[in-house]
Amino acid sequence: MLASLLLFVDELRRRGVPISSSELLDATAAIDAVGLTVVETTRDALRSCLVKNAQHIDVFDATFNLYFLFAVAPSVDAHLDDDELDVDLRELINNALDAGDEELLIEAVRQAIAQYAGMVPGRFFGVDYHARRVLRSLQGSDALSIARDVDIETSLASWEGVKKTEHLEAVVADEIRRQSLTVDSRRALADALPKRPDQIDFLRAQPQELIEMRKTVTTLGVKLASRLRRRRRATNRGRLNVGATIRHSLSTGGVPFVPVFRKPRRSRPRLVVLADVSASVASFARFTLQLTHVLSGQFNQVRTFVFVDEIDEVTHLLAGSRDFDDAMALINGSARVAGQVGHSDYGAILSSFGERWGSEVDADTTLLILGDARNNYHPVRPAALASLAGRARHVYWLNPEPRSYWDTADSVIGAYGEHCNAVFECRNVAMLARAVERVS
Amino acid sequence: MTFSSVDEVMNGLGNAQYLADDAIATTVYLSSQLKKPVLVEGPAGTGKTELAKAVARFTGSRLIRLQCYEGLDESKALYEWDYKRQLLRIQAAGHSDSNSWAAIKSDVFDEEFLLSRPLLEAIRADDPVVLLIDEVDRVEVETEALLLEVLSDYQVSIPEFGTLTAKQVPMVFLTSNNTRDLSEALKRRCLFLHLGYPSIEREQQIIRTHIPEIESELAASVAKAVVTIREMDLQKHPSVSETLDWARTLVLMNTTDVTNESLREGLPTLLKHQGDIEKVSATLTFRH
Repeated sequence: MLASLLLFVDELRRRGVPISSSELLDATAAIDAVGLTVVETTRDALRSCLVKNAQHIDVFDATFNLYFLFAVAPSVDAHLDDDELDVDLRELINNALDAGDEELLIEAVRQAIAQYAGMVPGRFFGVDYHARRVLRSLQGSDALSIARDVDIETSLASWEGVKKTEHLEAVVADEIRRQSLTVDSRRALADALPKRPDQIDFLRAQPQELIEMRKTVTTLGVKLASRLRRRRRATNRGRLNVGATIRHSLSTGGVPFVPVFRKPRRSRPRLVVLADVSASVASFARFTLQLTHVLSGQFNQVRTFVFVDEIDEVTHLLAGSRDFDDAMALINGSARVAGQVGHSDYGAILSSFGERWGSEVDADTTLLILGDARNNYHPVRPAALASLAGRARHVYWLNPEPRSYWDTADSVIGAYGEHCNAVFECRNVAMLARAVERVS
Repeated sequence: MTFSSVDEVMNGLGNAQYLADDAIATTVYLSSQLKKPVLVEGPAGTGKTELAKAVARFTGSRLIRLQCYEGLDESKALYEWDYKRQLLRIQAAGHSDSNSWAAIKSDVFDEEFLLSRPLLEAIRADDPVVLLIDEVDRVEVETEALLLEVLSDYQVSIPEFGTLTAKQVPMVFLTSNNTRDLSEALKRRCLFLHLGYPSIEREQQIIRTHIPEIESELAASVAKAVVTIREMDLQKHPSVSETLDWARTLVLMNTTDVTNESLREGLPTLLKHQGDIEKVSATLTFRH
C-alpha cells in the first residue's frame, strides 16, 4: 500500500500539486484511521491531507480515479440479449437513463463505444475525440450544451433532460478513459490528467480549458488586488522627515511627540495598455484585459487600446462594472482595428499611437504592450517605441510565446525589447499574474 | 473527543440540523483521530461557520470563537497580563512586612494575573471544547504565526510564566473566504476541506430541513432555480443562506411555484449587486 501511495503522490507532484513530507505522513496516518474498504472514504481522507488548495482538487480527483478506480471495471451483470441488440442503441440508452439502471447503461455504452468510437490500438486521439464520435452517432448532434439564456420555466422543465445528457456524457467519457488504458496507456495517461488551469498555454488552450482559465483569472485577480493594496499600505509612509519633526515639536516645548514622515513618491501608476487582438494572440489579449479590468481599482487610470493593423481606444467600452464578456463582444464588433491588410505591423502601430496619443504619455504612465511581436516582415521602427519609452515611466512588453520562439521567423521582439524596461514571457495565467504584479 | 466511525459523525451532524456529505464527515472524523485542525475554505454562506457550531452542538461541547480581523494581535488572541492587578499587588506588597523583591516578583507573574483570550482559554479548558477561528484570511500573514504553536502542539508559551499544555485536545476549525493565500506553514498543520455550493439534491434537502413547512415541489423548484443562477457568470453567486431567505419569503407569501415573476421579485434577496440583478432579469425577459 505504501508503495502505491508513494507512486500516487509522485504523480501528483509532477502534475503541479505541492505535497510536503509531513503531509505525506498525515496521509499514511489517515489511511490507518479510515482503512481501505470504502474507496470514497479513502479518497476523501487522502484529499483532506494532500490537497491544500481548491484549484488542485480536480487534478487530485482525476489522478486518484486513474490510479485506484479505473483499474477495476465495475462488474456488470446485465448482458444484452441478441434481440435487444437489434433495438436501436439510442432507445436502449434512453430507457436505461430514464429507469436509472446504471448497469444496463454501462453495458449499452460499451456496445456503443465498440461500434462508434473507432478506438483501436495505435489509434487513440484523446478522450474528447472518441467521446464526441460516440455521442454524435447516438444523438445525431454533438454534445448537447443547452444555452443558458432561456427563461426559468423552460429551463426548469428541460432540467431533467440536461442532467441526463450530462450523465451520459460522463459515463461515455469514463468508459473510454478506462478502455484507453489498455489501448494506448502512455497517451491515455498524458491525456487523462487535466492540467492545472493556470498552467495551460494561452496559445494552445482548448475551448473547455478557456472557461476554466477565465475563472482562474478572476480569482487570481482578486488575490493580486489585495496583495497590491497591502503593499501600498505598507509603504504609505515615507522616511522620517527630521527637520519637519523638530519644527513640529516646537509647539510641545521641543519634545517631539508627533513624528512627521515624508510623503512616499510611489503612487498608483497610470496604466496604458496596447493589446494586439489579431487571431494568433486574441485569447492572450483577452485574459490580460480581463486581469487589468479586475485590477482597475489598483491603478489611477487604465486606458486600453487594441490593434490589428490600426489602433483604436476602447477604454470607454471596458469602463464601469459592465460584464466583461459583453465588453469584449462590443470591442470585437465596433473597434476600428482591422484595416486593409489584416496583419499586425508593430512599427506602424507604434508610430500611429505616438502621433495620436503620444502627448498623453507622461512620467506617471506605465505602458504595457501585449503581443507576440510578429511583424509579418514589415519594416521595424524601434524609434517609435524609443520616443514613447522616453516619455513614460516604464515600458513593459508581455509576450505569450515561449522564449525559445522569440526572434525566430518574423518575430522582432529583440529589436523592440531593447527599449523596454522588461520583456516578460507570459505563456499561461500563472506567469501572467506574476508579470502583472511586477508591473504594478 | 473521539468518534468511533465516519457514520457516527454523519448521524451526529444530521441530528444537529447540518446536512453533511461524505467528504465533510470523513474530514471531521479524521480530524478527531489525527488530532489535527480542519481548515474549511469556500465562498461566503456555504456553512463553514455552521459546521463548527453543529459539531459543538452534537458533541455537547462549548464553542469558543476567535473572530479574526486585520489588527488582531497576541493580546487579543492569546493572553494578556492583568496590569492593573499586578500594580495593585505590588503596591499592596509595599505596605506589608515581607519586602523581598523575589517574593513579589514570583507572585506577580502568577496564573491569577493571566487574562486568557480565546486560544489560551481553549487550551486550558477542562470540559470538551470546539475552537472556531473564523475568517483567518483576514489576518496578516505575519500575524498567522501566533496561531502556529497552538495548532501544531496545542500549547502556549508565555515567556514570564512557562509553557501551558492542553489538558485535553480541542477540536479546531479554521474558516477562510479565500481572499488571500494562507501561508504554507498554516496549511501544512491543518486538514483541508473545501465547501463549495451544494448540488441540487443537497440544496433541496437543506431547504426542507430548515423550513419544514415548505412543500417538496416548491423546494425542488427553488433549488433548481438557484443552481441555474449559480451557473451564470455573476459577481457574487447566491449562497445557501440567501436561498433559505428567499424560500422563507415564498412560503410567507403562499406562493406555490417558481415563475418568472416570482423569481424577478426574489432577485434582490438572492443577489447583492445591481449588475447581477440586471443580468439575470435580462436573461429572464429574453424569451418574451
